[in-house]
Amino acid sequence: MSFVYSLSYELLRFVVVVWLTTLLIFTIIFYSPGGRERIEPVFLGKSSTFTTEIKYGYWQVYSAWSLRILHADMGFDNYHDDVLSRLKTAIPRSIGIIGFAVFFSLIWSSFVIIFDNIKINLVFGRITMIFLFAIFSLPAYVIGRYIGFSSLLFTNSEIMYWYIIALAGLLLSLFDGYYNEVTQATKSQIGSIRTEAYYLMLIVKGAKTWRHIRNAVFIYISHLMFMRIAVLIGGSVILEYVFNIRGLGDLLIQSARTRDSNLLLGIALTMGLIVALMQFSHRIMSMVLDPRLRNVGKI
Amino acid sequence: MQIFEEVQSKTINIVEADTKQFHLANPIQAKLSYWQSLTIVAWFLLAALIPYAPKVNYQLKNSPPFESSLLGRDGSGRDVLVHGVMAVRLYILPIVIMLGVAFGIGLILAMLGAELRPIRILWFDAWKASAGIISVILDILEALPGIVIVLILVTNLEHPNLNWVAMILGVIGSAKVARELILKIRVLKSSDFIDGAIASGVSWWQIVFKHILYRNSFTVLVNQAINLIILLILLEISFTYIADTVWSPCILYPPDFPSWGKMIFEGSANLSTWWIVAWPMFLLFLLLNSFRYIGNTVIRIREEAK
Repeated sequence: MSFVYSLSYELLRFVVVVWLTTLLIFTIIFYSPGGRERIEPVFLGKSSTFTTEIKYGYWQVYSAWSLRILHADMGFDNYHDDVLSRLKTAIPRSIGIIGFAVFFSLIWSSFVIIFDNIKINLVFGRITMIFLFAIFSLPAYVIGRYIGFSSLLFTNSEIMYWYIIALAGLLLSLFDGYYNEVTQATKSQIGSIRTEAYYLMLIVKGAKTWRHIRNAVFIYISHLMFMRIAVLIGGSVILEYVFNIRGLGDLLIQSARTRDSNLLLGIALTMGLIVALMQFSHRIMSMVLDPRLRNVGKI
Repeated sequence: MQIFEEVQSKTINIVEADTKQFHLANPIQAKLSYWQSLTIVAWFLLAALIPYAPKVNYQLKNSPPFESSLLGRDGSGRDVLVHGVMAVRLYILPIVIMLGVAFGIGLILAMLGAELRPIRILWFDAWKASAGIISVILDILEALPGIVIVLILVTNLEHPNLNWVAMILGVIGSAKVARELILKIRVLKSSDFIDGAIASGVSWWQIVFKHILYRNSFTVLVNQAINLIILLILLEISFTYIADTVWSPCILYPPDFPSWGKMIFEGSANLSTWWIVAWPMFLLFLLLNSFRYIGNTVIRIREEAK
């Protein structure tokens, strides 16, 4: 029963976070110079030539916009294309890059953890760490640009397209400072379970500890994705632009170039939604795996 | 969600223990990092104080290293060595603004979120309710995509510059600062020496600002500051690439201002002029690596003073 209460609390929290995030993003775009004039005609059915005649209030425009969103209608961009259909094609590609980045960074960090724990050759380990830190401090787009000049990018094959997405994820996992934090977090997570009192108790009793380590690692992976998702989205924006992948980042830069407020609103809403969904799933997953994390019913 | 944060707070202590262990195990490294930190500080001060106007010389453009200058010249015939070294002056004011905003907002959010209770407000525990609200606010700040907000700002402001970008990064980064501080304060609140301080009649302000924040949360603050600085510099370099191709030229700083982002962008267009990219990339590695050591040195000096 405690889990049901916790779940409903988390659902309520998710709705509040999504609503307030969209409100904040809408407010920033609405009050930015020229934003109001570009949003109003799209959502209130006005022609852009009559925008100076009637001034609608902030809440009127916001409620019209949110009602449209609830009906799964995000309006049209400057080229009269449906924003929702453009987003639908872009989202899987961006998610793909982020997913590959998390996957590869887990592989790198596990290698480093093994190195760190074995400690066979200190000099070799130190040189490896300096080398890894050197590539950590390089901006990913420079390497991407050098690779990006190859003829791979001008292919229409679907398999090659996903190969490029995986390549972008690989670069994102190595460069732009992501890798270093992953390693640090992995070390601390594995260290924390070993010092837990209940873990020592299990060892003393001779019970199996595998289940608890597995749960801790799963919680750690979701924690990793939740904590770093915003940074990963920022990195994927640059890499999509470099590799010519038609994802959310490419749409974002396009909307900035053409000052397309409607498309910008859609993208910001989608990105905010992805992060909020990550937070929600992280909390739910943690509660399922670790009963101590449940909000109510605790002693 | 108290328990959620309490369980997570254990990880912070282990990261701190790692830093302390590092200095105990490597006394030579500790000494080296001390001098490295001093060099970096001197570099920043000199770059800020020495007047610099890059000389454009198209006759010497793209000349390789050891020909007309030690590390070669870029597309406008400017010396790459001097241009790269002086480029750090671009980051000084944005770093100060970003850290000011991030720690200003982050400290307030952390003190409200960690239930420090300076006074009794209502008949019920209002501070407990505030902790829940702050937790939601932190979720919202983390859900805001930073690069989207920066792009909106640059698209719509009349005179955008790097200081505005730093301010936005500061607001968004304050969530991370607050989250880490809340975890730390929760651990410290239940420790014995704070109980002792309360029992011996030390004032609330002294306990919070002196014993909790200044003496014991220093590691968290320094680590967060370094993470934010690294984020700002990498974002400037990445953003120059987008901005140069979207707005052409980049509008975040005056066109002749030395910038690593610009040097890397110009150099990476053509592999044959590798020296324009290599020097700023090396300086970037040196600076980011040194920031880590500066953090460790500051923490070590604090530990020795204790």
